[in-house]
Formats: sequence, C-alpha cells, structure tokens
Amino acid sequence: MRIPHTSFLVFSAMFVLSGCGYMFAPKYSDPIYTQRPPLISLRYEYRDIHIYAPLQVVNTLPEAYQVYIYDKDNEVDALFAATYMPEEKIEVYLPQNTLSTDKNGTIFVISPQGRDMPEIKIKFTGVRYGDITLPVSKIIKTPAIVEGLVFRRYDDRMLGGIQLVAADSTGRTFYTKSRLDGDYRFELPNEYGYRNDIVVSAGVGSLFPVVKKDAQFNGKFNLEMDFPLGPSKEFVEQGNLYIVINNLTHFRIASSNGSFTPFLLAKNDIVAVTQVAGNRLYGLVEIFWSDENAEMISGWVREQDVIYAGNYFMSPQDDLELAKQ
Amino acid sequence: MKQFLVLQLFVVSVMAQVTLDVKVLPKGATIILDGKEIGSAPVKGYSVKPGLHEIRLEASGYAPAIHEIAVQDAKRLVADFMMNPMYKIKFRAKEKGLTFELNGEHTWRDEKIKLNLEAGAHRLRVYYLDELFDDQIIVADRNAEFIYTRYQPEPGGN
Repeated sequence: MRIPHTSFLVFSAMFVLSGCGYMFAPKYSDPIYTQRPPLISLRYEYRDIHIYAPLQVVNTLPEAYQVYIYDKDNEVDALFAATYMPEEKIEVYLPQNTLSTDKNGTIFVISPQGRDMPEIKIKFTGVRYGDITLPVSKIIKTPAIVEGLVFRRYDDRMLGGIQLVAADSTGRTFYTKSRLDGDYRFELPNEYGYRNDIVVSAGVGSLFPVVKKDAQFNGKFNLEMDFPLGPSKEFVEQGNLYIVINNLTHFRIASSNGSFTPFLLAKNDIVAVTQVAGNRLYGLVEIFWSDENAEMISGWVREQDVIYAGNYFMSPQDDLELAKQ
Repeated sequence: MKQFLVLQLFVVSVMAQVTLDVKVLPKGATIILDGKEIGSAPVKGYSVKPGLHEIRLEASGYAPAIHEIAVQDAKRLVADFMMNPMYKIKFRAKEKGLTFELNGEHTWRDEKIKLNLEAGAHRLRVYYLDELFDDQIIVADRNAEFIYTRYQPEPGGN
C-alpha cells in the first residue's frame, strides 16, 4: 500500500483545522459598509472666449498697444491686461464664463503707445464662450480741434450753414460749415496742435463781414472759438444799413472827392447811414477790436459802392438765406 | 414671435449642456445618474445640464457608491471613480459569551461568522454581559480570517 506524501498530510490537516472549520459557520446577513465615499477625481475641460479687435492704423505707427478688459462695474481691476506689438493681431483668449453677459457690460480698452494717440474704449456684450469680433478701431493721432459757435451778434441767434475756413501760413486750407444749431468743428491734422499759424475765418461767402481769428494751439489740441457775426444791436440802431459791394472802397472824412481816407472798406462791410448828400452817404462803420470791444467811426462813402441791406441782419429768417448767398 | 422664443429657449438649453464622461474602477460598473441608468462604465459623451446631479454606482463585489456632483458650466467633465471592494472575512473569537458590534449597527454573538466587509476601517465593540469589554478599529484590506483577541495596550503606552 502506498503511503501519502508527508506534505499532503500536513496540508489536509491545516485545511481541516482552519478553512473547513467555517463550513458550518453562519453568514452575517447584510454586507457591512464603512460609509466611506468612493475615491473620485473630477476634471473639467472649459471652452474659451476668443476676442478679436481689428485695427486700422492711419498715418502713424504706435510703438505697442496696451490692451485691457474691464467689467463695466469695476474699471480699476482689469480682467485682462497685455501688451501687443504693432505687427501682432490683437486677439484675447479668456476662459469660459469670465465675461459679463450684460448688455455692453464689458469694456475693451486699446491704448496705443506713442505721442498723441488717444485711448480707444469699446463697450461690448460678453458671451459665455465663443468668438467676439469687435468693431474696427481707428488708430489715429489726436487731431487738433477748433470748435465753437457761430451766431448773429445782433440778437445772439445761432447761425447755421455759415462757411468757415481754417488756413495756415502756407495756404493750406480746411473747410467746414456751421450746423443749424450754430456749432462748427474743425479736425485738423495732429501736427497743427504744435503750430500757431492757423487763421480761422467765419462768414466766407455770406453777406456777413468775414470775421478772422488766430487759432493758437501751443501744444493744446482743443480750442474753442466762437464767431459773432454781423453788426451789434447798438450799431444797427444808428441808421439804415448798407453793405459795401467792393473791396478797397474809400471811407472818407468828408463828402468831397479827394478828401482824406483814413481806411478802406472791404466787401460786405456794413455802413449805418444817417445822412445822404447827393450820391454821397454819411454814416458809421463798426470796428471790432475784440468780440466785445468795438468802436464806431464816421465817414462818407459813394452811393455806388454800397447796396441797401434792409433788415438782413435783424430779421428772424435771414440766417440761412444769407448763408446760401 | 412664439416660434422665435421657443427656438431661443432651445438654443439656450442646448448651449448649456456639459459633456460628461464617467470612468469607474471596476470597469463595467452600472452608472445611475439622477435615478436613471445611463450605462456601464466607462460612459462617454453623456450630456448633462450644469447643476447638482446624483451619481450612483453599482458593481458586484464592490460597495455601492452615491456621489453628488455640482456640475459646473464647462465643455466637458471627466469623472473618475474608484469603488471600494467588499472582502469576505472569516471572523472567529477565542472567548465565549461575547457580543460583537461593528460600526455601531451590526451585532452578533457567534464565535464564528462569515462577514462581507467593505474595504477600510471598521469599529469593533465587544460587550461581555452587556458591559463594554473592548473597543478597537479593524481594517479590512483583503479576504482573510480575523481572529478576535482583546486589545492589549503595549507596555509603557498611555
């Protein structure tokens, strides 16, 4: 008879003593949990917001662009700030949900680096994610601006349609017209902001005597100049108004030919006539040393050099009509 | 106008969807999202709205798991779960007349018993004649036999 191997006997004995001992052991009915949460890892993948700000650079080249994005309720802490070189496209990538979706709730600021280039602010409506293309921003040097009002001196009535001319010492000229509310505005090239040789004339081509003023910028870029046109109320009350029809018209101290001419009148100058002697008219002209300071000087003109103006400078409807002439 | 509003609502609701990927160890676990079975792990490309959701996981040999996720507004959320395995523990006490209590809710008096324990630490309390006799933490980390012996503080320990 074959005797079992010793190791088999040991194994069998261990089986009986240990595992086999549980063959009749009861089993606890419920699984027993620790109530420990499972191990978990969450990874989010976000979309992004892509903003493109196209530029149109006009006759200048900034050294760089400083770009900021602000929430409209906090223009101190930028949501985004970066510097772009002139050759780079201005594109911004932001994580999803970083912009307000309120209407015009976000401000995009482009600050060109260089002399006299104003900052550009664009308000826009943010999105949760996706593409935004902003309107084209014009990068232009700060213009030299002359603006103001054109009005009738007689009654302060605003004059629309009045031609204004800005001319520099080289003869380069710029034109504009006053609007119905009397406003006018010149936007001159940036370099004029450093020049003092600009003369602005108002009333060119109208029946009003042309008024000229020097626009001296001296490094400022905004000048306000108002133009009161026509005679003063005091002057109008002196007599019937006549308009000089020719340049270099003699304004003599006496009615006789050859009497002394202290100065010559220009076309559209106004004479308030008080006396008539034959074909000679005696009256006053108004010389303005400044907008508020005027002097009336008496003298004689020939009837053929003037035309009766009627109430052109007083009537309520004459402003536009005059301007068209 | 009404159609436009309906379309707008549709667009907004579609835009607000987040793609959910769920990976679970073990593979093949049943995934139940907000009470609805959405498949066996791994599940990819399931769309959910941002907000609070409940994920329940079930797999044989593992403790079922429930987890609440506050889904953020994003393009994709990848959730990886590792479920806790259950171990078969053969419990044996050398002394007689003891009452055993596990985790404050499971009680038995048998000297030998088969237990199905979730992996991890469990609190074992032992009573003798209704008096607390022992209190210790046991750790289930494999299928094994556990022979109960009363906790003996090490000499010199506090």
